[in-house]
Amino acid sequence: MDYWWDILNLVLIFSVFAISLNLLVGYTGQVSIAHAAFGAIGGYTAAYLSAQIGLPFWPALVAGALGAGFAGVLMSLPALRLSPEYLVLLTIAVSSIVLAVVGAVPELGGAYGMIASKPANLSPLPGGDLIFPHQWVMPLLAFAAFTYLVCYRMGESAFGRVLRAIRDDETAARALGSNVFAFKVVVFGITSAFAGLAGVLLFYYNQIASTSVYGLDVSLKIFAMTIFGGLGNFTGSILGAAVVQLLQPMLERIVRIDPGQAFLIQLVVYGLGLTVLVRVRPQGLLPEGFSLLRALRPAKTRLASQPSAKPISSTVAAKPAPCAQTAGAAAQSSVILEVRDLSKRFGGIAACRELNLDLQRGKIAALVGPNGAGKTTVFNLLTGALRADGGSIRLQGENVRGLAPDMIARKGMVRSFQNVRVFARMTALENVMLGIRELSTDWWCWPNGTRGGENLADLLLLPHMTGRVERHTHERAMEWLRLVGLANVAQTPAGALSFGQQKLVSFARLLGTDADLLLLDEPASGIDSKWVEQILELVAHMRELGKTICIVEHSIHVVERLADTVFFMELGHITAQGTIGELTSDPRLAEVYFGTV
Amino acid sequence: MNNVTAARDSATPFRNRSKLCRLAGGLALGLLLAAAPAGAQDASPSGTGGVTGDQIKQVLGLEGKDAKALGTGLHFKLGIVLALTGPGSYYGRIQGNGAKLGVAQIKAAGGPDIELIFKDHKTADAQAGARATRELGIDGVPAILSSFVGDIGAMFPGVAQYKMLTLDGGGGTSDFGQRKPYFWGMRAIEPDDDFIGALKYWKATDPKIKRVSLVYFDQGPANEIVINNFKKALAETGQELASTELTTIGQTDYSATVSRLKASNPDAIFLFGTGVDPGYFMKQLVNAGMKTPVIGAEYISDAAKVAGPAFDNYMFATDWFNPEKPTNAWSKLFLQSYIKEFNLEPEINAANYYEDTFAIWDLIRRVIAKGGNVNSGEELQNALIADPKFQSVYGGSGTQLGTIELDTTTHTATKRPLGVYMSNNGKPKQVASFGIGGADFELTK
Amino acid sequence: MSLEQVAQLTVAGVINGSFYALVGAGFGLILGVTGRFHYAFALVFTLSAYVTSVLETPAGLPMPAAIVGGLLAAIVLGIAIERFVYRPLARASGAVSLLTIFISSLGLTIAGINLITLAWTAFSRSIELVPLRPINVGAISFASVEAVLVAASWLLILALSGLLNFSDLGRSIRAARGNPQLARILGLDPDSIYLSVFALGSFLCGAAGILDGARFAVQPSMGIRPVMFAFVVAFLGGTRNGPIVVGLAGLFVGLVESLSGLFVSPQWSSLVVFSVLFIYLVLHPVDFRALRASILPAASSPRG
Repeated sequence: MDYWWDILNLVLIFSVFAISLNLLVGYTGQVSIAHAAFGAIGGYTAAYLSAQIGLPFWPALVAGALGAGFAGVLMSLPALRLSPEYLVLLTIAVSSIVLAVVGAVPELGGAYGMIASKPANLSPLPGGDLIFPHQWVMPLLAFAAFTYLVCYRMGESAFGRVLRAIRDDETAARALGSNVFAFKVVVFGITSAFAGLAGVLLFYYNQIASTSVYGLDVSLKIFAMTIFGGLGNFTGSILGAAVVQLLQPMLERIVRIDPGQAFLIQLVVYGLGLTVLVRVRPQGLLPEGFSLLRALRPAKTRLASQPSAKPISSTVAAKPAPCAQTAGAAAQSSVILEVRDLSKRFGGIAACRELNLDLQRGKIAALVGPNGAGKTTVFNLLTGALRADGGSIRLQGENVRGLAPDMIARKGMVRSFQNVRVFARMTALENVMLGIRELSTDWWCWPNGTRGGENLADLLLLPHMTGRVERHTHERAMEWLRLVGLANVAQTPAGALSFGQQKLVSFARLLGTDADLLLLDEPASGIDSKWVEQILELVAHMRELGKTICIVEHSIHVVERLADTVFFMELGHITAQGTIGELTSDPRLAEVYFGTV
Repeated sequence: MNNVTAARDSATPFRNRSKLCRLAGGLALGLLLAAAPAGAQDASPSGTGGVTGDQIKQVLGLEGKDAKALGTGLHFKLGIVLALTGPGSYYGRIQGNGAKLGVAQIKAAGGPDIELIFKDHKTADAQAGARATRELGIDGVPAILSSFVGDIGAMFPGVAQYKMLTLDGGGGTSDFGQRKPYFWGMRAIEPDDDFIGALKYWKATDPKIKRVSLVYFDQGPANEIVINNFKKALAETGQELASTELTTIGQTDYSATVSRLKASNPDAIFLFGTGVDPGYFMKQLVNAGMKTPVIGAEYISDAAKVAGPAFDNYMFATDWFNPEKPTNAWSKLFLQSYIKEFNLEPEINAANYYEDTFAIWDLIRRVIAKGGNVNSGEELQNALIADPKFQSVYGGSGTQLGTIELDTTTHTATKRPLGVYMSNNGKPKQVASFGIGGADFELTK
Repeated sequence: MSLEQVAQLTVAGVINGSFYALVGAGFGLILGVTGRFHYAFALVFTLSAYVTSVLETPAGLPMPAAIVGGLLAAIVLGIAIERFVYRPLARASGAVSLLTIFISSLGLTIAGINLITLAWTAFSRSIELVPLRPINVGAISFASVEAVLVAASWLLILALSGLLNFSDLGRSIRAARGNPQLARILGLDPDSIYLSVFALGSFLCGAAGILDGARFAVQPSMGIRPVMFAFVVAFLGGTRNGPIVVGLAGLFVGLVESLSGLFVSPQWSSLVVFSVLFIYLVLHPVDFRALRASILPAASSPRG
């Protein structure tokens, strides 16, 4: 019986690894194959401290987890701006560095590692020394359950929603006001801490810490468990750990020939098994979002998505006042955005030359001009996606040049994208919910400056309040979806919607941010006339709601319909301004705009 | 990117799944079938190598013992944890051969039916070793033959926990495996016991050699012990240390080490390398144009294959089993039966594991004589401590068998014949002999 | 630290660097064009060496024939993996194909290496390319096979570069590497381009395996470390850059690794290499992101 307890114990320890890796890879989309290396940091920390100063089990465990978590935070800093391929490379480098260090430093046992000086002891909890496998079962079940609960709470919440947005489209997430860097640091730190925890457990279980226990091949094994179990599904990770871990003992029982050959054949079957299994079920054993709990609770979610009547309804709930916005004095001036001498060069090309722009509150402005004039670049500069070379940008009187895009979004200036950039693997409702947040400047409202599910402290410590905020967010998001007429597709993945519907979703989520200034990049392009009409109505309605809007548009018809003011842009500079009528009656502009017709 | 098509695409594997499963199943089955004949060749040739039970009893002096005293009919589980896969699988194979031969002959001679339970530590994988120990412990195995110094220590906690008497004839205790409960090394300490033989050999054959470099692989905290012992041996022979070069197990590229050796220019080099590593080292040393004499601590034919002609002048000093000169009657019997059974000449790894199975049998007989429980590792260890001596295929002469003696405090061998050998194209030739501590050093005529 | 030692280590660095250059170029071609994390590169590497070794002895073929056999085995295996494993898996995996291909590649490598061990045992084998002789240039010495390795590596890299720059196939490959969607629109069939790329990459990989086997030894785990270095070098050189640039990156890695032996004990050399890599990655985004943004002004915003 102990034989099977032994296997279960290893499955449980590796579940801790796999679940935490799933949070990092499956939810946040950060591919790391250094997970076992963080386990090494945890295991070696515990080994060293228990050998040198006789630290008992619990303090050693905490020290190991914290050490690994800290290292994870350190690794995340350079990782913040790396593309996925380079991130994998970074994790390989970190893994190799960690293993090289622990494998060479004599105080850590050098190549042979460190043998435990005493077994694990759960005191002050009862149970005594944990020596035999059956003694380990309950403690390991508790650790695995703890990991599952924490990661589940993080993943299936507003916090997890932001993580998945980062996975799907980091730039769009940032443009909606999510402090992507902070989220990444937190996730790296926490998942590494869990890896460290598992590493400590592995050390005490095997009574040895050595580089072979935490090598790159172990990281790859954990990675396989996570992928195979199903990205974005923690139950799947446990299953994946079980299957991968069980493969060898199972084969040992079945394949009974000469031991030397038997072990090789086991490995062959294991390797083939990985290849075949991932081919048969590339999305993993359990798909994302699948959960026994969810399956038993269908009623609640379906209630929310009732079909909408009219697309534009005036029954919009009163927007809660954005709390704690600073610089209220200038808030009600008629100029919401003041741009002076904005410039940007790319090598020899001046994309933006001393650009001046004033946007009147509550009005719709249009930015028109020939292709290559630099219109989208202006949007990029205004929202902080590009760093300007010079000039000033004042939003509601406050200088925002040089701020990060998410900061600017939270200050009330958001933009839509030409190619929409919805979060394809998230539902329409989730897309809109991402934009909605309850701002707060309390010191623990980090990383997003919000209360509720995106705030880790609230999420883990104040479940009731978090639940309330979540329900509120849900309702508001549904209202915005009803406004744009998409309430009936609230539960559909945004990637499955038509382009026109995706555009509406992106507008809904912009509205959800409660930002006062919306920059819309070609809102009416790429869709047929039926949709165009709907969108025009929506944009006009946004003005009625008090929003200030600036659109980049090519279609004169759209500009005529919507724009109060038109800015004409040529070669990075605003050369004319006025109503559309004034501009079109100028022959020179007409020729520039329409080209040689 | 439209997720609808992606969703549709993901449905395809389900349609093809049954086909794929069949394909996979067929592959696996084919594999097993293909491997079976190959496996069968190797699958436990459990023969005695043409030796009869009576011959064994006679050579070991067990004639006249009755069935009960010998342990006839008893079923005994003996764990054996080897490097069956990985770069060190050479050792696992050869050590396994020795054990299998021993077990078969023991049974034929009226001893217990010893069941060898093979476990794979995958060449120094700590997790595998810890797991193997746990499995053996759970299985109630009272004794184990381990290797690689208890899989570089990973087995120590487990054998103590489950009280399994463990003999390591592969790595012995080395420096870091001493005084471990239930763990005993059945050979000289590597490389420390070898140093003096090598240095004395150089002193006797080439007095010009004054400065010697030590190239050794990383054993963590044990490194200091190794270096200090080397310096002590140097002090004895009046030579001096030129430099020390650290390498890692499994290292294949020695260009940096070789270039540093070139710079320090020693008169001779002592190489503490294991497995095929000496092969890579010699290949690169010789190809760098260095003609420095090298004496190592190990020899396996694989290393010679890797090095090719670079191994021609390689020498080694260790407790080698010399098939050219079997020293006592048992050694002769072992030699002839091994060759008959495996079509190979035995070497140190085979000999050690062969005689260690007999040591286990010896302990079983002692416990039976005391009326105790042979399946208790504790009683087996007590029997060992009471008389830490066993018959050996090493040493002795004629009908006087050799003996191996263990120290009950350090758990390592105090008496063991060692020698200095030349690699000699795959048939190592002895050029000197000595004992532990350098006693009785003499050049072979 | 003498001049002699520096020179010797530099030579060693050039030798190792040339090897890294070769594997980096082969791996980088595959990665850059197909985007696949082809971990099974290690398997192709190993199989090629084994086939050559087995064809030499015991099959007794003359050395050139054995080499051809090994290279053919590499190409066939590489193409087969792409055609039968990666391509259907990529189609089925959609958004997560990067990861699933990596896993299946890993599985193939584990299975393949152990199959090789089953077939030909774990005992080291050798490859005889040229008679092993030390070559002495002043105080520096190296082995004849190492000179062959350096020459062969750079010849192959140059040949690949020439192929990419001056042949039709090369043009198609470069088009697919730069902009796969556009290439498809223009009528280039990505499937067959991928196969060609795998053939070429596997050819280089196989050559590297044979050279490595001749220089050291042929044993089952010989491909694990090279594939890691191939990965690192391919990224350092840049997956959109040509083989020569990647090759120079490999040379750089080899020199760093070797010359670090002047300052630290050889056991720390891999630490030095990965630390350098780490530092490069920390600084990397600062240089290239703005550059990329400036090249693509029409894109909505710079991608992270």
